[in-house]
Amino acid sequence: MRHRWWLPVVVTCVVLVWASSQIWAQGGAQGSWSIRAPYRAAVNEVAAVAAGNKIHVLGGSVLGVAGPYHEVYDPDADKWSARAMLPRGLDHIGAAVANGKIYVIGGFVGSVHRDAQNAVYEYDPASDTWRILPGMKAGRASVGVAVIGGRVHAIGGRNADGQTVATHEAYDPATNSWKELAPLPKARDHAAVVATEGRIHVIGGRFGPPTDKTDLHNVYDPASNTWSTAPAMPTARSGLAATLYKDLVVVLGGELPPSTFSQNEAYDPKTKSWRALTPMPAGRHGTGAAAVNGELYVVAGSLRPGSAGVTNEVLVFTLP
Amino acid sequence: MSDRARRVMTLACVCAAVGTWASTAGAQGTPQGTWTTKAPLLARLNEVTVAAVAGKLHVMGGSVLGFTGPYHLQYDPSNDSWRTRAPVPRSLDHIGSVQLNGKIYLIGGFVGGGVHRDGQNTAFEYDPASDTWRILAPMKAGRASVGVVALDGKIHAIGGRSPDNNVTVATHEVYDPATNSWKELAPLPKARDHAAAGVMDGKIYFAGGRFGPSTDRTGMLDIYDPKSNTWTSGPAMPTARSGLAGTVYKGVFMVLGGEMPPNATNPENEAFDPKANAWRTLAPMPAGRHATAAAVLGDSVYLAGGSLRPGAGQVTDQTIVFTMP
Repeated sequence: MRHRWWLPVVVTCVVLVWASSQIWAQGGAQGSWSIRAPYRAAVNEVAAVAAGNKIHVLGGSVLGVAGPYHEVYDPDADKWSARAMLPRGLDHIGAAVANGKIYVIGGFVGSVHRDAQNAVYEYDPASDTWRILPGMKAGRASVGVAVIGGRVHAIGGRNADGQTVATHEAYDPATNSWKELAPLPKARDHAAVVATEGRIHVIGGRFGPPTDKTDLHNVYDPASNTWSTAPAMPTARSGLAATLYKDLVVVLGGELPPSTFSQNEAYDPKTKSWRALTPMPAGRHGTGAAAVNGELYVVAGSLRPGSAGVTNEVLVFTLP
Repeated sequence: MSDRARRVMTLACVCAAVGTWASTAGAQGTPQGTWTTKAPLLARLNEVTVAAVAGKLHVMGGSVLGFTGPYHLQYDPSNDSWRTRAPVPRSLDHIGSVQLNGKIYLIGGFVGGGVHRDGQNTAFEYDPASDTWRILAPMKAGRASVGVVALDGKIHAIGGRSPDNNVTVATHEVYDPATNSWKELAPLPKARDHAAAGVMDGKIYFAGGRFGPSTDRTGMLDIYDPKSNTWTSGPAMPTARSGLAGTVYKGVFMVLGGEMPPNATNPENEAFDPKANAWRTLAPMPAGRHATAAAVLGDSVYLAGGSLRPGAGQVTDQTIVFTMP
């Protein structure tokens, strides 16, 4: 029999072509990352929301001092500009948008997790002004905020004594008042809180220190004022950024000393299942996420745990 | 003249010209000194002040996105690392600072939340041994972007900007640590701020700055003699600029950086030599910057933080170090 010397070469080539096409197909299906104009400062523990096709980044800390930072990003111009500062310097605030206005809730006055506030502010992008609203019943920060049925829900968090809470209050802009609702099944903070299809998802977080992290996934139904359990997040973590993007609840990053998470995992409420998306170029926490114009933005935060490696990076994730 | 004579003449002229050019170039040479970078600040801070004490560099105050903080970072050259120290008693930017008898003095500063807002009359003393701050007797009125130097055991606070952003002042007060009190001295010949100040051979040198807006900059050099309590004029700085860092290093008064809105910052590094009564050009910084400050640590000059673009554009965490023989 003649030597088929070319056979291994051909097989190798076929395998390589197949493998690269798979990698390409997966990369395409799982999304890709790019970089945009950096935030104008390296700030940790910020919040980000999308309002009026722009990304607002709010609060945060520099060298342990919380500032009233507020900058807006215009995706068309790839440009950041200053907006009216928060009424006070806070980090670890919760933020969400209802009826075109931004609601900023709770927050610490500085590192680490110092003196949680019950502060509530409303920002009107049209007039670039802030309004002080009635406070929550008690101070908390690292609180999850989501809007459902025009009401602003503030869920979980950490109180002024540094303990996590299960508190669940909702603010109604129509009556300018707060109402207490069914608490979280288990007290925690640094979680991902996102509303979709009439329900609020509370995912991951921590019960105490960063090592005491969880993959818990609780879902709130406002019709019955009850919590149920949904499939757990694949990677237990806390110090998360999250947003609704293309009908998916996308949960990004996190911290667990001595490192941070680059994980990008998405929960699909239709299939009630999780999928892994392309991870961030580098792990981070203390960052904010928001989606606009078919793009998911991740802004500022820290590349290492705590307030180490604070960054001004702006990452953009897109799914086809 | 014969052709040959003409050729000889031409050759001689060319030789003379080349010789003159070569000797000039040789005399001017490459600007003196070299720049290196060290571990960056732990944050990107604008409008900081810098002082060296007990073998370490301190960066104090400053602003981030227009918000002013009580930031205080300390650099240890032995392990090229930064750490945080006791925060400044107040959140201020554009502070003036100087080291005297092992302590750091911080004078004046703006409160932030806007450009050059509400200059303060505050004075603080930092003791690196105990990592604590002490609040001192205040100046007679609020000012910031003030030139601060130590001379004969006292702290001089010169010029600056009043709480009304539009008004620069010529005020010159001196603080005596022994009595914890201020005394007024001969004012600057012309009110200004964002200048550089240093002390050589028992005299205060005050260079550059601006009279009002950042476009209204100057290269003026004023020299204060404490014996006569009078100011005299020195040769103007070659490049008029403001938003400066200044320090005295190896017998010369170095003036670094500056801003020229809307787009430019100065990389210039010019030094006044009192022996020659003249300015000379030293190796420029790796990139233009302003809103930073300089201090001598060991055998080198350190600058940290500031902005690479005018105002609060491109705030940096860079630590750059200048050394010359």
